[in-house]
Amino acid sequence: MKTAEQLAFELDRLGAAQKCEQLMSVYVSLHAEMRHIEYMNLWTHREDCKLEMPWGAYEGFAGVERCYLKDHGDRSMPEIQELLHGLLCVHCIGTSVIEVAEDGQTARGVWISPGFETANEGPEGPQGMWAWSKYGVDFILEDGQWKIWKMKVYPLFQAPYDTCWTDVPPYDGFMLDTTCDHPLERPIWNYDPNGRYPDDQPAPPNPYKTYDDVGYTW
Amino acid sequence: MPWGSYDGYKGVERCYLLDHGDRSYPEIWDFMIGLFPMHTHTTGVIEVADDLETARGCWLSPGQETFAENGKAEATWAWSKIGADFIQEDGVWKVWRMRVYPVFQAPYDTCWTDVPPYEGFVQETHCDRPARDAVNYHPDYIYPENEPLPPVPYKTYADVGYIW
Repeated sequence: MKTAEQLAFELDRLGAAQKCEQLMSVYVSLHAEMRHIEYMNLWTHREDCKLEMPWGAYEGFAGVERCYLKDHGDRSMPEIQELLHGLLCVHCIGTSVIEVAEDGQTARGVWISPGFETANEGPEGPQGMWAWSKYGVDFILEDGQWKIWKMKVYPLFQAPYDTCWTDVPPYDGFMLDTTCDHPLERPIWNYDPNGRYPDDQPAPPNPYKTYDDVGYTW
Repeated sequence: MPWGSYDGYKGVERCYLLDHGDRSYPEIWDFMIGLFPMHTHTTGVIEVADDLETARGCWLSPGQETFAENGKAEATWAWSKIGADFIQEDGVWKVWRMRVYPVFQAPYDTCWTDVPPYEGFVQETHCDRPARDAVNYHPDYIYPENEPLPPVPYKTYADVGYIW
C-alpha cells in the first residue's frame, strides 16, 4: 500500500505532466493566432533558453523573442497585417511522452505534430501545404508555474496539398530571412526516399532524477 | 454544429439520432456503405473547476469525411475545433455542452484555399436555430482569436458560464 507521501508525490508529478501538455496546447493556439507577444509569457526568461527551428538555433530568451516577434511577428503589429490575410498555420500536437524529474523541478516531453501551413506566396494568393513535424521540449518550474525552457522542432515533411511528400525537397520551414544565432549544431533528418527514418529524433524521455543527470538532449 | 444549434438533451438526440442516425437503423444501412468520417482530437486544453463539478476543454481536430454512393467514393479533409463543457453526475463525467468550429473541408485533391466555407455534410437538419457566426477559412480573412478560447483555471461554472 502506498503511503500518503508517495501518493502526494505521484499526484504532483501527474499534475506537472498535465500542465506541460497544456502549455504546449496553448502554444499551438497562440501560434496559429499569431499572438506571439502572449506566447512569450509561456517561456522562462532565462539566458540558457534554447530554441532550435529547422532553419537555425536561437540562444537565450532574447533569441526566442527574436524568433517569434521579429522573424514571425504578432497580429498586433501593423507591418504584418497584410501577411495575416489568408495566413493559417496549425501545428497540432499528439502522441506525447512526458517525464517529470523526481526532484519536481524540470520536465521533458516529445510530441508528433500533424499540421498544415497556408501562406500568401504571391499573385496566386494563399497556398496550402501539409507540414508535419516533431517536438522535443524541456520545461522548468519557476515560482510554482511551469514554463517552456528549451525546444527543438524536428521537421518531417512539408508538401503542397497536391504533391506527395516523397516528391518534394527537404523541409526547412518557410522563413527566408531570420535572426537565428547560428546554424543547427546537428543535422536533422528530412524525408528522403533513399534515407532511413532516424531512431532518436527526438528520443522519448526516460524517467530521471534531476536535469543535471541528462542535460539538453534534443 | 457548423450548420445550426440544438438545445437541450432532446436537441442533442435529434442531431445524432435523426440527423446522423445509428448503425442499428435499417434505413441508414445503404448510407453506411463506404461511409468513413473520422474526427481526431489533439492539442487539448482542459480545466477542471475547483469545485470538481464541471470541466471545460478545447481541442484541435484533424479529420476526414468519406462518403460513397453506388461504389463511388468522395473523400474530403475536414479539420475543425471543439469547445466542450462537462458535468459530473453521480460520480460519472458527462458531455454537457459542445461547439464544433469548422476550420476547412476540402476534397482530398483540392486546396482548402480554393473551396467554399465548411458547413458540414448534413443536408436536412432538425436544429433549433441557425449557427452563430464562426469564421471559416477564406483567403482574405484573418484567423480569429479565441475560437475557441482555451479555458483557464476557474472555481465554479457560475463564474464563467457558456463561453464557446
